[in-house]
Amino acid sequence: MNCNDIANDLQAFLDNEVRQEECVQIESHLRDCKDCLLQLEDLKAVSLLLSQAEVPPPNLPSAAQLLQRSRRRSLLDRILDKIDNIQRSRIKLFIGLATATTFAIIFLSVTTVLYKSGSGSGYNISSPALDKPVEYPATSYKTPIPASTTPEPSSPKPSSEISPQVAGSSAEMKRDSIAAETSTLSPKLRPEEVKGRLIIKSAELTLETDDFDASKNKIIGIVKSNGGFITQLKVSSYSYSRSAEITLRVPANNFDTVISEIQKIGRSISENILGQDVTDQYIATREEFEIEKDLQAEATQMASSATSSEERLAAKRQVYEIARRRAALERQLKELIDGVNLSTITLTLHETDKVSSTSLGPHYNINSRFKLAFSRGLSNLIALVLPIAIFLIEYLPSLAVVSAVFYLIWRGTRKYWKRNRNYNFSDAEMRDWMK
Amino acid sequence: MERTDEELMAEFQHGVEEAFVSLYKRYKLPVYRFIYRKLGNQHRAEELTQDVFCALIRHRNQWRNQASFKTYLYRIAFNCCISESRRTQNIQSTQSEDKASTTATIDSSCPLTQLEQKQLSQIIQAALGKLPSDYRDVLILREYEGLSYEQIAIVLDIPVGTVKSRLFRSKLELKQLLEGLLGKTTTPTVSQTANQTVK
Repeated sequence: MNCNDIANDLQAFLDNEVRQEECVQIESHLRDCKDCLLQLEDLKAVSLLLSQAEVPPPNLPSAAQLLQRSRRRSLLDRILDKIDNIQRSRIKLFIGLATATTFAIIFLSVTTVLYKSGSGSGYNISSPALDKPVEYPATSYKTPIPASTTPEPSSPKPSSEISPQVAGSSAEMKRDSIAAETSTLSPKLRPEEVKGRLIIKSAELTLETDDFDASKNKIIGIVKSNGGFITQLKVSSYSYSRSAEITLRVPANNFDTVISEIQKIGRSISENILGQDVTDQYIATREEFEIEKDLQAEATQMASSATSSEERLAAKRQVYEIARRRAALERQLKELIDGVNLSTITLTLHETDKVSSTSLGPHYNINSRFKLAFSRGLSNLIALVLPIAIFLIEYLPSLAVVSAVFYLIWRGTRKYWKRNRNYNFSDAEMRDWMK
Repeated sequence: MERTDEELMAEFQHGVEEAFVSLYKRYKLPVYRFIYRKLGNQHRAEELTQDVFCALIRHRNQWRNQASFKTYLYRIAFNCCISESRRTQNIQSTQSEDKASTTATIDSSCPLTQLEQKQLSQIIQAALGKLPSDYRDVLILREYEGLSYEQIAIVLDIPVGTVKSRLFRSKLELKQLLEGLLGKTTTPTVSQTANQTVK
């Protein structure tokens, strides 16, 4: 052991704070090393010098006085705490009001977002009972009626008996009188042209099916196989079921066949079959059409035989007017014939709702019920989280601004509170005060 | 049989005020001396001694019987001194004031031995004040309060090895500061060495 090794331990050796073996080593070193011995003597001398320093006698209070002061201090502390609590309760009230206002704003904003999202296309988190069908534009389409498929009615021959009566009179007056006459005579005059009755057949059916897609395809197949076509197919998707509104046209001859085949596809909920007799309407329109034809021929003749330009002009105007009326009548006739030849069936196809139906009916399936309940939970979760996420994205800047304002108000209030809290005395101040 | 500090403190925790009276009698002077030697100001040492015991009363329930009462009390005193130093930041100026008052005392007509003893104490106190505070704390606790190295380590919250080295170095520094007085410890001629040592 050399001098450097024991230098730090000399004071500890002097204070008897070294271990026994170290003590022996230091003692043996000190026997040989005069420098270390001198250093030890110096340390002893410093200790001796320090011990001679006296401390002036203190003027301290008695223990009873200290206890009394402490009791007063604790009493004062409690009073100050109460004052602080009053201040804190005010601040808490402010914070509470601010928080409530913030939450009210957030709630209103969320409600607004949800309302907007619910009324628009997209998600819907309203309860299943209040669910409205969600329309998917991509799956609804209309099949236009091809003009070429409209069968032309057998055009009746013009009446040879009427034309002479029309000739030689002014167009307006003659047309009225002929129309009045033919309306009473026509059923007798042309019994052979309308064989049987002209009936426009239509039906409104409502079906329920378990397998929605298969039933829809079957209906389309039935329509095609019977020479008909679909004019409208609109699929609506509810939360847990779908429904389709199908408008189809079929030849009148196959109307009954199609109805019976469709009814086999699913459970019939309602059916409404109508037959509208348009025989009289057809005959009246047809006769009007014939009269207009005669009038047109007469007006054309008058125009060609007119001497003055004014007469010719008036006759031509008459011809055009009659032609316009004839075209309108012709359209009416075509529509009537189209309605008679092609029957319209409006079919509403509902998918069985396995989730909403809680009764253990014949279509109740516990497995599908669980699957649908799971999907319902998942969709509800998405419907809950998604608006919140959208709300946060949309309103985050506004929220940040509101939060910053509240934070500044809070800081200002705290600063004001601290500034006015000048009763936070130190121990020294308290001691002076209590003397 | 005299009760130990820990027993008295435990009684005080249960509301026996007489126990505090005993503790106060036992420790008011050591605590006062410690603070005085650390700060070098009698008036402030008296105030802080009161503060230490007030803090002991206020926080009596925080003491756990596992710790030594002595180290707990010195720890409070040490913390009070630190807080006071931070609060006032004028320890040096106060010491210079004391020095001025010392000069006034020397001029008074006191007996020679008393005067020299007082002056010697002031010189040593001034030398202590010149030490770095880390060294001074260790030295005071060891030399004047008689705490063991382990207790000092607990009070100052430092390792025992650090206590050992700081104590040794503080002694060496003090030896240099009080060079003139060493060797004349029994009858130092203070008037000759005062100007040398206290600057």
